[in-house]
Amino acid sequence: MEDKARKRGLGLNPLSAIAQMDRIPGQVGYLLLNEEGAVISSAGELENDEKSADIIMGLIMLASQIDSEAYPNYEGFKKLSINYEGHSYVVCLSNRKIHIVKKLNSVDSVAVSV
Amino acid sequence: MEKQLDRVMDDVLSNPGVIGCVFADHQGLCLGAKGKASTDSAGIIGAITDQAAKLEPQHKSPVIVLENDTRTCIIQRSGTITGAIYKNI
Amino acid sequence: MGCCYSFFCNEDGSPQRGEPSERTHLLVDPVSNNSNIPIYNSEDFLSNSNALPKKTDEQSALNRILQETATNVIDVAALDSHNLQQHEYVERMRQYSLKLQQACASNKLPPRTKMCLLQDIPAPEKVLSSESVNPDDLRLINSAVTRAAAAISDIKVEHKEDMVVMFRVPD
Repeated sequence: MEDKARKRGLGLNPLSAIAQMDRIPGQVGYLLLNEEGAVISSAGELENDEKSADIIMGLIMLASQIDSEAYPNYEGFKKLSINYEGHSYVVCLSNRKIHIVKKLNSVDSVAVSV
Repeated sequence: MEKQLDRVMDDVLSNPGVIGCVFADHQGLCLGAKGKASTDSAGIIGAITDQAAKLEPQHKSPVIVLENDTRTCIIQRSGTITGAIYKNI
Repeated sequence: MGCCYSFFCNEDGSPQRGEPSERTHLLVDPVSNNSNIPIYNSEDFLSNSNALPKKTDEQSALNRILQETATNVIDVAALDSHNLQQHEYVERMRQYSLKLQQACASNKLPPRTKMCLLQDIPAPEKVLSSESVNPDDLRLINSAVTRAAAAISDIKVEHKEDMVVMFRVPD
């Protein structure tokens, strides 16, 4: 599969990004979006989940800065996570693609709730 | 009175690594800010929780965490108010 | 000679009969051969009505049809190709982009940048695999917002003086 993609001249290989997301521990679904928010690839509980894709795109495009006093020389965040009890969404931007992974939390971090 | 909110913010700032905190009401208006935090950020914090709450509206509002190499920003809503805590890593 | 002539020739047994010519049918039509029914085509009628037209007339008629057709047809491909050469494209492209730059500079348009909270990072798998949240941070934010919510609910407006004050209206 990866060989085929390389032959097609996809230097920035989406298949390798998919392979990476497949291997993430606790992963129960993922979305790979381009910069416009279009779904490039998806699987598991997030398969074809354009609604979640839209919401998360809306979230990261809300602002380029959160607090000018706390982050004076600001260069952006590397990771965004949205944490529910038991599961969470982890979002990052790499290779101009938005990676969204839905994971089940590991046992020690489930403990807390209000 | 707001003295109580002041005390809560002081307590938050006394935690190791915490550099600032902001609280906003349900309209994104600033209720209070202490430490290295701008009252201007109340609006964006409110907007972030609003947007994140759409993801799984059936669940209790989530904790949103933004990280880079040096700082963490932790945001959560409880009832009508939203809090954000800025931490050094 | 027109075909009408050969048609007549068939009838009167002219010297052309039997000899191959441009009008000789390659396939023998059994019906016309047997019953002597002539095969008409459009040219036959045209020539018949004009009573043996000369070849130049026919040629000019064809030319006229060709001319009319040519004036009625708009050849899109031809229109397009003769106007723009490769270097003209380049020239125009340069001209337009220059104008665009001038317009942008005079209006002081900011470069169109998309807002994004995230920065592009080289190794997404490392970030995605990491623990999504520190339990201590969770505890901290949880207690902070809960206490803050309680504190806010205690805020009340203290009624100290009348909101509506009567001005003394002079009698």
